[in-house]
Amino acid sequence: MDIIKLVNATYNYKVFNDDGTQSFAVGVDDVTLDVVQGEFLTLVGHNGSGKSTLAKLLNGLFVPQKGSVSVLGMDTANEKNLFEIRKNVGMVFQNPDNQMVASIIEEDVAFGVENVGIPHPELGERVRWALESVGMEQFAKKTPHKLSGGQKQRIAIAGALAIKPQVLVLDESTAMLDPQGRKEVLSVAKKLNEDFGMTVVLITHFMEEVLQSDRVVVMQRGKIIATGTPSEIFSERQLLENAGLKVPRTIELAQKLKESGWQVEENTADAKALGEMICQLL
Amino acid sequence: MSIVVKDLNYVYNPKSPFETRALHNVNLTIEDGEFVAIVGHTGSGKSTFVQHLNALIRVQSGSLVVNGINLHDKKCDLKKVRSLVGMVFQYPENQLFADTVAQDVEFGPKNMGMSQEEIDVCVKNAVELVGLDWETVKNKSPFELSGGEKRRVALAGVLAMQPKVLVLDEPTAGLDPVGKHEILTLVKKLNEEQGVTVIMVSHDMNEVYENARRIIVMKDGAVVYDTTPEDLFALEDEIVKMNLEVPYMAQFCNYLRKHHVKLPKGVRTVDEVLKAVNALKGGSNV
Repeated sequence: MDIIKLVNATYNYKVFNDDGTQSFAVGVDDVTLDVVQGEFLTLVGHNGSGKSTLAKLLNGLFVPQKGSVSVLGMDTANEKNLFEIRKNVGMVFQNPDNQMVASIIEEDVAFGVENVGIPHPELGERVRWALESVGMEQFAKKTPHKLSGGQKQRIAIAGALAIKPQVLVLDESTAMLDPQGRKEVLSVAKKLNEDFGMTVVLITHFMEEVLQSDRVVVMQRGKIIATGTPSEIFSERQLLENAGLKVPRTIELAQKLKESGWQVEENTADAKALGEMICQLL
Repeated sequence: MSIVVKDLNYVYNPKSPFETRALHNVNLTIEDGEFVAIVGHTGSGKSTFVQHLNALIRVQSGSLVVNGINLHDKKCDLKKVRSLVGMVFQYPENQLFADTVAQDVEFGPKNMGMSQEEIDVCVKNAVELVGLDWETVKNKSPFELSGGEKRRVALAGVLAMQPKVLVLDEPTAGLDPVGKHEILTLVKKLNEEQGVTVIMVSHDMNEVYENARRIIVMKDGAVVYDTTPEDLFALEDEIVKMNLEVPYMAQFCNYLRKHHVKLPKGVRTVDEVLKAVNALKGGSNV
């Protein structure tokens, strides 16, 4: 079942030139895409490819100038739908420091739930559940300022989760984190997808993060240029490079070894497993 | 032009309940023209250390001598130190402020008191050095440029001061793979062709492995390893224990070496490893 449907969606930005004229910069250009219930979808693209613009179309933060976007059958262009749409599409952004609204973590997580009108005691239960789901329950009474970037992003995810959305959109939520923080956020996203069947849309340009997804969408200059499973996408090395992206190093090596005549699995992402294959061939 | 660090210690908020020891007996020497990476976990003291190098943080105890200037001396020539050591912070594009690229890049040299003729030459050279076309960008607002271009303008602003040492704090954070590659190629070029000493803080071990010729690992304010990329990442278990990543190509080579496959030293990039593996069977056909 499709949860989110984009049909020929276009969104451009207005540019005010020095000479007083106006022009447009492409955000998202004529994109048609279905987000299927329960899938882990990863959206990749170079800086400025339109990934984040597309993310903002998914819950009506932006309304397409041409075409349409609908969530659970509700059109995002109709303002009356927006409350219901945003309850169902939770979003976490890039900068962990910009998303904290309260000085105590459980209050921060409660902010969204309170706004959708959930009464006590369910409010408290949801906050507890959300914090448990991201593994941060022991921090409930603490202040967010002393957390690491990865922990802050997990709190932001908990805040979105407590509203019990159907879809969680992570808009470059790992971009500003160190490797440890990135791992934390990714494993939480994977867990939510597997354990609760939550639909996850992950937006990133770390190609290693693509590996765990069901489906990958590649964007370039506002358009979708490829869709497929991670291994289908990785086999298009040239296409990715033209789009400003790169295949993870291990997969690149595996592919090049195969091209040189070694009988190895070409989409091996684990460097040790690739080493083992070579050892057996020697 | 060398940097000599002896018994450097630093404590934040000394003699208060918030006292935190950030550097602990750091001893090292960085020679002219080196490409050094500093790695370590968040909070390991990397930033505190590099901020000492151009006296943004003053020496509390121990000594730090940059090109013969003793930074422990309260009256040392700060202007001189800061023109020798250029500092590029994280997300440097956030520091762009002027109306045009030319004005932004000339801010540093102007403050250093260069003459207008000198400034014009430095600014143009710096912008071209970072791979931007001077005529196209000089009158553009830096805010109209793409993410990677903005970062290069910010870098040009530091390079225009012609530093002998370039300190970069996570220069590729937030960029897409091609943007990353562009910045690293530029830094490498500065190091190899202009002889600029590069000190780069990074979390990306793959990037460090392929570019740096020396890696300093910091943990809890102390230097725990100071060695070549090959020797460092051969210690796979220790690296993992410190919660750092082992570069993919190092993992691959370590596995082969552990299983008695002989590989030449210094193969670090995908293509170098590929060539080495292909050479094992004396040709490309197996």
